Amino acid sequence: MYEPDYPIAEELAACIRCNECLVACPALATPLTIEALNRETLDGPVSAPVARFGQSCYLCGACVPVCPVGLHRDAMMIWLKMRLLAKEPLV
Amino acid sequence: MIEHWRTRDDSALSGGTSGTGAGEERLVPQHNSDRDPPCHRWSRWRLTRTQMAIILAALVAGAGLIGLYALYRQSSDVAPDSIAGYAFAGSGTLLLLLTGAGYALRKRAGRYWPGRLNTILAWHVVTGLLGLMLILMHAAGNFNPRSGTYALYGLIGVVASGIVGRILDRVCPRLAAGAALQAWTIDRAVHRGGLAEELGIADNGGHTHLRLLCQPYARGVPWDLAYYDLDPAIEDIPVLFIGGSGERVAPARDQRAGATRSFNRPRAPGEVMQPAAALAATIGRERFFLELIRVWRRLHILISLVALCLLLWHLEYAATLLL
Repeated sequence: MYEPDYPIAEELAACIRCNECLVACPALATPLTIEALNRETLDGPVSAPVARFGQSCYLCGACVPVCPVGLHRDAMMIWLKMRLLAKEPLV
Repeated sequence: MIEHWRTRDDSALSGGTSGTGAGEERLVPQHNSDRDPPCHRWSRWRLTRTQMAIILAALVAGAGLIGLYALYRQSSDVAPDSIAGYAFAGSGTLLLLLTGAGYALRKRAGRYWPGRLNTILAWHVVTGLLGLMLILMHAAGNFNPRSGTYALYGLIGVVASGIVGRILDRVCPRLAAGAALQAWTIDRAVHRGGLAEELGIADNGGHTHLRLLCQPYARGVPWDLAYYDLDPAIEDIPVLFIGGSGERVAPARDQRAGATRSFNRPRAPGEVMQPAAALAATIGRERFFLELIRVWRRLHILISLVALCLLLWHLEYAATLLL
């Protein structure tokens, strides 16, 4: 799913913020905005709700078919999980 | 521990380190465990209020069922075909059918708000466990090799596969992300080691991913989702397999000199394959964990369908006895 040169930023830039992926997500338990998720997925500090969501996401892929622009939120979530796991910044 | 980030100006105020020039804003890591919220720890188990309420309701219902079963065992008519036994069977079957069909239908057809599906999933787990309890109460310790016992085994299989699935849902994504992180690290090390230059790939100071991830259109190709293939063949994975002239490097069988040769002189194609093989292995491991989640979910559904067939068989058998 995730490739070392996967264009996360391009996918995030293409997101139209329709919220369909979050609606379809069975792992999301706490309120979260798609703007915060997009912003904190790529870089910068990760807030508590986004970190919690990043850890609880089990990559079921329910967010992918509902996306009206065909983005791969599951790959973005892997990137977020990588950031949460990394001991060093991913740059 | 999560790395918090701040700009160079922020770090300069507090004595942080940064290697960039004056005026240049660069993100630098901030190692400050005091600022790490405890919720960022992966090992910590966190429950929302809704989840706690559902667990509390499940505990109360479970305790009530245990108390009811204790009273039932003291009665004179303790058998699967007693009035109470039929009541347990009917309510348990109804609950299990609602558990399975309800979640599947609501997941596909419902229009909800974010977080609603998680609540439905929690109820799916709880009602599945309670339904199995009711069926066990219906059995009342009778496990003769008949249709009902087979149906019970099927239901136990469904619940057990669901529990294992929830554990896999928690463990596998982290392992997959760890493998992806390792792949990313290998790829970055290869670029920093100069191997990319030898292969004719434009080096950018070891920050390939910074460019690729943070600058749209970094590849110089038109932005179109159709260009991205999320399921490439192993030989298509990294740029490592592409030679300077663009031709594909054949997979190497000889890795004798891979660890000893310097990055400063030309390499045989086989030497390139050593980090590439490690990269392919880590990506393969990531795919395995992701596939395990999906396969287990299908297995859970398959066992559910088998249990449903066994249940229908048992209902048909019970109907012949009653009618």
